Amino acid sequence: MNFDFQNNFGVSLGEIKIDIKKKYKEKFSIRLYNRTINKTGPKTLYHSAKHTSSLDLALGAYQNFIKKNKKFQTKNIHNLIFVTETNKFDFPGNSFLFASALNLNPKIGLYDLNFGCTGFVEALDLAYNLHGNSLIVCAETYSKHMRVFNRSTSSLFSDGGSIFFLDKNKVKIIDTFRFFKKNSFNDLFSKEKKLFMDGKKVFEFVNTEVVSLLFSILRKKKNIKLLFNHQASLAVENLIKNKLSKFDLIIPSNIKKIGNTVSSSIPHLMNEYLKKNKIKKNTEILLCGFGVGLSVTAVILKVLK
Amino acid sequence: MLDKDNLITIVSKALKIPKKKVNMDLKLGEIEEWDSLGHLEILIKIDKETKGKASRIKNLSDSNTVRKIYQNLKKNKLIK
Repeated sequence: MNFDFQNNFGVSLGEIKIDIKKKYKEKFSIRLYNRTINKTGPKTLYHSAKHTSSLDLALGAYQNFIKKNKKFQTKNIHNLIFVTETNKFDFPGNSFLFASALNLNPKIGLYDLNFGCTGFVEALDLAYNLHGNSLIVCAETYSKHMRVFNRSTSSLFSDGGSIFFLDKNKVKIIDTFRFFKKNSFNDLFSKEKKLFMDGKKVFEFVNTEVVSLLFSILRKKKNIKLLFNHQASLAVENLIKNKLSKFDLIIPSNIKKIGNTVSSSIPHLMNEYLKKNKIKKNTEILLCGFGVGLSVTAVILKVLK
Repeated sequence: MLDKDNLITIVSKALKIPKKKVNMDLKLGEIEEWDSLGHLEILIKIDKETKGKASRIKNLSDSNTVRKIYQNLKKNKLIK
């Protein structure tokens, strides 16, 4: 199978465009909008329609993936890992629904991961330790956890989905790093479909734990020149870039363009970056997801072909 | 090392308000400018001024008055 790493991704976004400026005009003020946008980043967000679920976004991303890989055969999928915090049903998990919708081999391994912004990176680590190749699906509909437009979360999150086909002949996970902060679950959570985020606590977590983890990795691995970070907010992006400025690193960003798509943010970012840039054979890249937990997971990924 | 006056300057710059409007008892939520975004800006500026040392202070983000920020920085020997 001739499979290009650049084509390993498929992505989707919610179908409703949300004009943040317009929302601020209606609810708050333009002055507040101008202050907020400098910290959050996106001027437009993408929300899913009333009847669009995380499963639909995942299927949309799969269509995008298939467009790029017309000869892809589902028999090459040995495991399916579905990452979401917003399953279509309470149970079964989305992996069963997705596998049924695509008529996948009923003997493949199905895994559901309830992870937020670390989900894609966690799934990579899991997939690499499973037998065979894995399809990693991430999809999230956080907009359904925000009943009214609020300043804390409504100007940050987009609904989105992504696909990544992990072919072990093409990609190798060199190392995985994790940390979770005990008893910090109250800083970012959703209960009864109501999303709460203490922005300053999340920011502090990034400023302390995430930055120090990245520092310790980059100090030891001087060959890493490319970092794909979870796209949390513009303030967080700038903070990380500023803190890591002593390293000779490329840190791509698309937060302004599509917002924070939770577990899909890194796949979206990589997909966009790889459209314009090639990654050479044997390049080691660092992927870092952080958020709900509060937790952080990073992997060093080596592109073999 | 920072001093009290530097801290007041930092807060006024972060919140984009005149220095005379800032006093040690000013607190988060008391004025429109000091909301969660303003708080974030204060933390970023303090971190920058202390060359990243402030980020090592656990729960600095919980300090919700200028005085509490000052006390927290003082405890950690980052301000006179």
